Amino acid sequence: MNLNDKIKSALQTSVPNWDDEALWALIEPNLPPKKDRRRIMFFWASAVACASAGILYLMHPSYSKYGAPQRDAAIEMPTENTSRGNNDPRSLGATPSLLAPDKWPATSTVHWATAPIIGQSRMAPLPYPGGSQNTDQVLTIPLIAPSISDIPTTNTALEKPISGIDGRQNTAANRQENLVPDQLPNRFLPIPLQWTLRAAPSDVPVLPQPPLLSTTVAKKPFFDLTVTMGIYATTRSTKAQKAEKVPYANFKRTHEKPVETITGQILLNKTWRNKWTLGVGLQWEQITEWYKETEKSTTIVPVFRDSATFYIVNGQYFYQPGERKITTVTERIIESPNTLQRVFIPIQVSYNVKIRHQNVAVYGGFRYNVFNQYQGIVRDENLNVVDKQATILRSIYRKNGVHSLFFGTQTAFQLNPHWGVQLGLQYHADLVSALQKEVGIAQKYQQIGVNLGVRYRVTGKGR
Amino acid sequence: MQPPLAPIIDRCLQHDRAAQKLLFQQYKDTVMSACYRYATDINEAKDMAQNTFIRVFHHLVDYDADKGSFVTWISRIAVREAIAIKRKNKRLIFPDSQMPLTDEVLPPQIIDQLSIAELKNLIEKMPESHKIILNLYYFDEFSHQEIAELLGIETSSSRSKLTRAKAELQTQWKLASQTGL
Repeated sequence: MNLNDKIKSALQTSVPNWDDEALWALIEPNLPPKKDRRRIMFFWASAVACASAGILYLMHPSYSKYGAPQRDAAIEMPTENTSRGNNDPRSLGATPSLLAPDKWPATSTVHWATAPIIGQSRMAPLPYPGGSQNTDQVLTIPLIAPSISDIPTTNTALEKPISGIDGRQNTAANRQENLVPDQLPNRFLPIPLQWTLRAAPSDVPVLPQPPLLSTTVAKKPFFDLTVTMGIYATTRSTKAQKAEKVPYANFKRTHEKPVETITGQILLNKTWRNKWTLGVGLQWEQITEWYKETEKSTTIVPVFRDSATFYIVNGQYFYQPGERKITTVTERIIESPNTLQRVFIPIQVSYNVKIRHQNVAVYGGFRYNVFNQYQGIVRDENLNVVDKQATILRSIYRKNGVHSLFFGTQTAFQLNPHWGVQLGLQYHADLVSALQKEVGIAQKYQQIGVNLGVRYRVTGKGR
Repeated sequence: MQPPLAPIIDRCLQHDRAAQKLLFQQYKDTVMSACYRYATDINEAKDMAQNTFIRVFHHLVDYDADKGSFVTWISRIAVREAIAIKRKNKRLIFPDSQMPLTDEVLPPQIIDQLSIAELKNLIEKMPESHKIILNLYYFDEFSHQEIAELLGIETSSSRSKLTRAKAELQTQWKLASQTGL
């Protein structure tokens, strides 16, 4: 044994006992987290379920309290019915009138109304142009909450709100038409409250439409800003662009299966005449492919020659390897995700239809590809994997851009004058354009999926 | 009998905790043994081993079976992590030796008489920096270029440091011979 071998043997040390579990406990928190696909799917399933629940709630017939936008009510307001002979307090055609408190009849029926009405409990009697009315009248008096005790409670019964009354009395148009400066209320109701009284036949003057004010005046929408996220099922097709120059033109990427696409988008929308909307923005998407292949590799493994030296130091077994080598073929399954991130500028045109409280839109458009980043397996021209986790960044200008068309439908709900939610179904199809002639194999994706988002409406002045 | 390595590595690439622990169990002694040769004590060796396994699991995708065995790959990472910790703790200081550079080595008859245990004793008495050079060159079989990159020195400096380490070994042997130890 020469000096080198002896030094090597002498450097060999035996490790004292140590706690491997304690060491693993220190290592484990620093390891990369496991990608749990089930959690991702659960997240998306929950999001869709929440959106569905919200839609069902908003579509329910009883939904009319605060969900309906004020502006929508103004649009749907029917012509005011001035009939005064209707005895049914539930009648939608009953004319709202104001009755002086000191003239309240002994037998009155009080209704809770739901519209946000502001008024006062005691008002000076106003002259009624038409004189006294001797008929059984349905009268509506706006009150403020602290003055409930002032209401004569004799023979008074509370009834449930009547759907539809608010829509007639709470419109900005209606209120402003009947607004008289001298009749402005001096207090406001934090919670909408309205009393409807049924007057007994008597010589009670019936006053004109009560003055009503609203703290919110519907404003004209200026533009909408939408932020959406989506998940799409994805398929891919390839097309050889230059078969004569690319030896692998007919190569089918059977080992790489597109799995899903997730997207995020911000879009600025401008609507004309409540029907047509033009939107432009920025969209990011990530396509995930799952790569799985059994890789066969040939390795040269050194084996011991008969003359190999074996020795034992401190109870451990050492050897001097010989020179003979054998060749073995091993198979190895390689699985890894490949990701393709793309950035687009989408331009879309929508046609909007209003159905109940929903805005349903059908839209289509074009996505201009501006940036791509691929991370994953890279092959050479002989199809050999040259890099398993390469990152290729590519800014797309004129060549190689994979632009696409898309169309879809979406339903939007306005929660308040500014905020809304939307849920949609969308389809994308890549175009292999003439600009891709320089690409050996052009690939295009088709995606279909759902997106969910929020919408912020920027309003301008005026109605 | 140990389970086949390839499926374990594949599962580790998918961040399977059970597979990661299995890999740790299989190679903990290899890593600890490599680290302990460079460590001052067992606690420092544990720090080195911890960093080694974290790096291994984060860079497992870089392992290529065609380029070498897994045990070689993981041992090299352990050595690199050990040296990194030494450099970080500023414990890797090479003294300016006044010893002349010489290619003189121990005479062959002395080498034959010298037992491994005696050689081990001599190495134990050497400065830590010399032991590290000897470990890198003789045990882990790093080239001078690799040693130079690892320690952040010139290749020629790596050669001279090895020569000084061997000269130090000879000095220690002479000292031991004179004192009869």
